[in-house]
Amino acid sequence: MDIDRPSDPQVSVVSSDGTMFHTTLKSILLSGTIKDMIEHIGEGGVENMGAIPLQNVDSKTLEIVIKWIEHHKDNIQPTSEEIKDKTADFIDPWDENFLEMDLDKLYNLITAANYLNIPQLLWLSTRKIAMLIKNRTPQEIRSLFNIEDDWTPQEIEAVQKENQWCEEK
Amino acid sequence: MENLPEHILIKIFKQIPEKYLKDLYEVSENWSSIIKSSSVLTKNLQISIKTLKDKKFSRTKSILIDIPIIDINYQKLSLEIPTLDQITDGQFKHIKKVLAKNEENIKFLKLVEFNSKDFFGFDFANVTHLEIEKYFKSDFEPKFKNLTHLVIDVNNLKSIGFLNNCKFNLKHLTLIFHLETLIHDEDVTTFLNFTLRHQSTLEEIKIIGLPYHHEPTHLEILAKILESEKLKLIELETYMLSDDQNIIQAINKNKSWCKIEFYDSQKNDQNDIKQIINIFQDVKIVKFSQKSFIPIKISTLRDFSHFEGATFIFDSESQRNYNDLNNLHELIISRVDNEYQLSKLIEQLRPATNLKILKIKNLSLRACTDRKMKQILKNVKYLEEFYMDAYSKHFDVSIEALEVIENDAKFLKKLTIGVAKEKLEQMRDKLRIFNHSYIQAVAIEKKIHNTCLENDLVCGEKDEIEGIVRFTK
Repeated sequence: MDIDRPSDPQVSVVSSDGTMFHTTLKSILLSGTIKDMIEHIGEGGVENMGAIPLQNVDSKTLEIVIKWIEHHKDNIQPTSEEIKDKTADFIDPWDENFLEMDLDKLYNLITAANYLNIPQLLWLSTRKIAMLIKNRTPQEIRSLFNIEDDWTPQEIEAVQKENQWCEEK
Repeated sequence: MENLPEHILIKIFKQIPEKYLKDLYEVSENWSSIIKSSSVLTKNLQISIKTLKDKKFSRTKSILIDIPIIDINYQKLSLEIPTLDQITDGQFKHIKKVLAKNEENIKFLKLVEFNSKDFFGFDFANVTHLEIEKYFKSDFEPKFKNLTHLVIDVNNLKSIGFLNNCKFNLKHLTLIFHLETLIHDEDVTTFLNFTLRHQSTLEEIKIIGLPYHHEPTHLEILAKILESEKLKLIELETYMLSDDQNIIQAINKNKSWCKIEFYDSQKNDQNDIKQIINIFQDVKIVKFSQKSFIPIKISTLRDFSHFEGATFIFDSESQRNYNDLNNLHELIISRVDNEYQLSKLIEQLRPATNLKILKIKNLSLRACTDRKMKQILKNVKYLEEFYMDAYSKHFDVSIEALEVIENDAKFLKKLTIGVAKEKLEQMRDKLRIFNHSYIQAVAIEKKIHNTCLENDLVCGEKDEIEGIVRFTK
């Protein structure tokens, strides 16, 4: 009977490494990818559909994603189109704090937000990287993100030698 | 980071303010190519490719090649390569790599100053130079088939046979000759024929320094070129063209917009100037070159109503009421050596709300003070570009002016200051204060000799200005 049906039913998702997570329908619908799947099977099928496998998201990342969507389940989320034109905006301190994580986790979160189609989370996490890049020299950026410098040491030496005068006091 | 897919990197780059993008460009080949091929860049954003500019390569006497590469999104990148003797083989290898990927997208190509050391010959011992020349000259037309803008320094290419039979959809062409150097008549002919071949598409032509001893056929070809109804802007900087009836007729026939630079030493008084202005009756803009050494009296210009909105050199000795200048878009003042005149000018600039570009050249020590500079900048609030020569004694003027810019000149995008050699280091130090607040790029360029860094910049006495400081907001 419908009387027993919760207003926000539980949904289960399984990470790529086989860990199952439980969350609410309202939260998981922030993911455009899962929303499409649910719309496809019809709302009535939610309770019977079983755990949703998410092959591209590992358990550590999925845990983070679920934490974020549960926190934001009652917020109105901007669409991808709205995100496109978004530049500077007020960032919720909770989100600022949430995104304090090491770079590997952040990369995985970005990839997951992209796969799960959560525009706001994708925007926030890419913005976090953008803010890390801003105000850094190319060398600092390379070192922060472990990017190999494709200039040869000889080329760099030559450049420095030729521009020594710039550094002279 | 490098494992993130390209579209994610683009999302990241798009969230980075434009002024930091040039640093990203330097990070790696992969990043630079993503930025260039994506829509990260806004239109006309100038980005120096791979260290060349940011590592101060462009500080030198002049820029060798300026190649804004228009990418598939019509966004403009610029590649600036310094003079020959400062390019290493490694850098040129990289440049060639960048070019090879973009040849078909290049719409704007500038080939100048292949050898600034010697007018008459190339330094053939310099392998890099030969490489550069070889690269540009071989398969010129197929390689750069989508060119629309071309700037060529005739002398520095030694032989220009590679232009024979070339045909592009050129809209803009600049030919730079050097009056003081020898150039073969056939090279002039080749260039003029090249121009004539593009008559149907050319909208702007600049011919600078056409040799004095030109053959009559050269003027005939030139007159034919100028007759084109397609042309919107002609800029001629040459001797004696005002004596050639064909040229005069051609210019007056179709042109509503024309910039003519004279530096004819034969015509050296106000009556001659007036006469020249009379000859080109229908020409709206006439710019007299300072090289003529004739300050043009404002009283001469006053007789010609069609100078409104004009670009011209201003004579500081005039007592003209500057209120008439309200339509001026660009004002170049030279030889301001009288404090009274400068004060008068500052007062009267107040109504010049349309004035976007102001250049004060050859400013004398007496006329230039902190207070006056500040006044200028305060009075011309809508200024977008300001140039001034600040000589040694009044070095601090420029720093004071910077403070005014920060507070008052909100629209200013470019500030160029000429400083004396001994003050260059000091200037560099002082600029650090401003570096992070509002100035996007600061370039200090050492001047080697009295040759101009910018086409329209005329220096003071030899060795007087040794440094040029440029700011871009």
